[in-house]
Amino acid sequence: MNRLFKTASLKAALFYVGVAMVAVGAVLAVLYWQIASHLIIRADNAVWRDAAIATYIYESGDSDALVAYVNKPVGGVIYRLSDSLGAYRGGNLEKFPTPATTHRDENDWLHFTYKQMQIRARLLQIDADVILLVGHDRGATNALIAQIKHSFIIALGGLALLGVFGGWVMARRVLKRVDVINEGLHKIMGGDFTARIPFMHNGTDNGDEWDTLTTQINDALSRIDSLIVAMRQVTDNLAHDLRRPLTRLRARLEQMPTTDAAQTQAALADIDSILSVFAALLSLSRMESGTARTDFETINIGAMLGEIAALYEASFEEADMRLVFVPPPQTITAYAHYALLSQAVVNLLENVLHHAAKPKAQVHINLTPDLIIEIADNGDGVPPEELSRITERFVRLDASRHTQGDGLGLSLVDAIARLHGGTLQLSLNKGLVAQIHLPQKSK
Amino acid sequence: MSKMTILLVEDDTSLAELIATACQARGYALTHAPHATPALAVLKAQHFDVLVLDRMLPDTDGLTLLQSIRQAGYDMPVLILSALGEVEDRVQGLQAGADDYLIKPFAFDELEARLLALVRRKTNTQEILKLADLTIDPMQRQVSRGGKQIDLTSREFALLMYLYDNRQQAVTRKMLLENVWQQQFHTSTNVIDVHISKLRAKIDKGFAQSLIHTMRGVGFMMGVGDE
Repeated sequence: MNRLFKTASLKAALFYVGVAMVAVGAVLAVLYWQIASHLIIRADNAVWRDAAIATYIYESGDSDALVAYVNKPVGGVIYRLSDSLGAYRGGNLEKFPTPATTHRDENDWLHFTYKQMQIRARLLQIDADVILLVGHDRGATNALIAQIKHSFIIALGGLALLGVFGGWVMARRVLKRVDVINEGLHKIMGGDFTARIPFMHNGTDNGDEWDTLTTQINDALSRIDSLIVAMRQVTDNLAHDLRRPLTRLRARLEQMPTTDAAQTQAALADIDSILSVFAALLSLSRMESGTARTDFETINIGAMLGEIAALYEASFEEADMRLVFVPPPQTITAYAHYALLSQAVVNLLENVLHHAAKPKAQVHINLTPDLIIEIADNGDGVPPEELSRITERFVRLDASRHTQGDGLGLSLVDAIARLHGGTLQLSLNKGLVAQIHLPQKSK
Repeated sequence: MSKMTILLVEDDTSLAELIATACQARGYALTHAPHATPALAVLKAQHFDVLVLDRMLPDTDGLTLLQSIRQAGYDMPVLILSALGEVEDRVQGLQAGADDYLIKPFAFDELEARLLALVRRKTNTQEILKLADLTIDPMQRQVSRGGKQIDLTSREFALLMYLYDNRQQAVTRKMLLENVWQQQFHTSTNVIDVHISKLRAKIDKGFAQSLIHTMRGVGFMMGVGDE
């Protein structure tokens, strides 16, 4: 749900809803203003008409006729005839409303309430001593205006709701499509280069822009896949072709009648170090193309680490260090390749032995229930600026040029972590802290 | 034990010749078959103590050949040879019924040590085992030397048993890692040597005769006599 609010499509939808609300709101406001002023003018004209009639009756010379006329008004109309001092002379409004309850607007209209009627009235000087107040009940008009205003607000609210709902539906659809693409890409990043992104509608391309995108991604993947297959072919051929002469070379050297056994041993050791680099490179490239994903099984990581710790404790002791592993109380399992994952842990431990050996140092192996295997030493670590480089192939820090190692150990750990869908994270605390993060649920 | 007989199925003839020469020098009888068909033919005609199969053969896959050999009822130990860097192949090989697995290129000593371990008659764990003045009781897991009780951890005991099982012949560090610790990883340290020297400190220290020997360039050997 939280992710939904972060989607670009929901944000875009909300933005458009906002813009539409402003535009529609403006149109409705103009419309409202015009309707309202039209209704008010019409009502005012009715007042003027009644005033004209009264004036006509008075000017016809019959003052009594005017009194009779204003005494019997039609419903919703009030009259008050008075002299110039305000004394009552006729009409249905005997008492003039007090100034406190009367509002006089800028156009000299009087507003007050009389017998629950909302009166809008006007004072007219018909003669020197004759003043007439003509007023109309505006309740109906005001109610109409209020109703128009009300329905406009409802319309605007409905528009907002519809827009947000539409945006939400759209965002969900987009998110679903993006999720399908993401899931496919995640599999591929894990090394399954044969994975493809499925079409949403019955598995067929219905020609919309999403399916076009899907097709494009799948085409790109097929291209990458065929390149990787070709690369693997080259690697395999290379391995196969080099294996023969190297195997023979080693066998010949072993059996060569020798006068200098030490030289032969040294030559064999050289071949073996070439071979170990070669083997590490081959397994790296095989892992990076994801071919070692077979043979994954559910393994007890705690037990695996226990075995390795038991094996290496003595080596650390011999180097005057201490290897500490406290197995977690619960059984922690992961879907992993036993041989490769233990190789990764061994490489990290041997990395400490080769490069971080320091008398009295402690090395901790930790395992957390969220599948983080941590190997932390309190040696000298590495320069912080070199941290990101040490997993690169053949990178050997200056400080370790003179020690043994082929510069592939940590690359291999990194490749193994990625083969498992996890990561290798290196940081510095007291010494180097290496963490292999395995995915929580992997299959 | 009489001369060990080996059938090598390997399509690289010059490598096969090199292995044959080495075998001859050490006193083993090696027969070479370049691919699967002659291998099956020669198996019918002759008994072999152990089989060495290349993983990739011109006419068939080494694992397929292994399956047909097993189906035909031959139960001698089989060692598979495979190309470099194929971590996952080992499991497949062992699942297909191989007894051991070796990655090319290999040291001849490594191949020899493994073949000897494969054909070695398994130790009877019901009886008390003796080597010079060392006594091992596999049932009670008790070890003593010169009448003196020696306390071993269970892993040290397993290591001692593996050395004893292969006494008087060399075992390599890789064999120990695979068989005593059941681990497949490659190591660039002397992790096995450290365990051997701890075991040696318990077994040999204070005795005139050493029972655990280091074989330079090969590995270790348990036995009496020459070092």
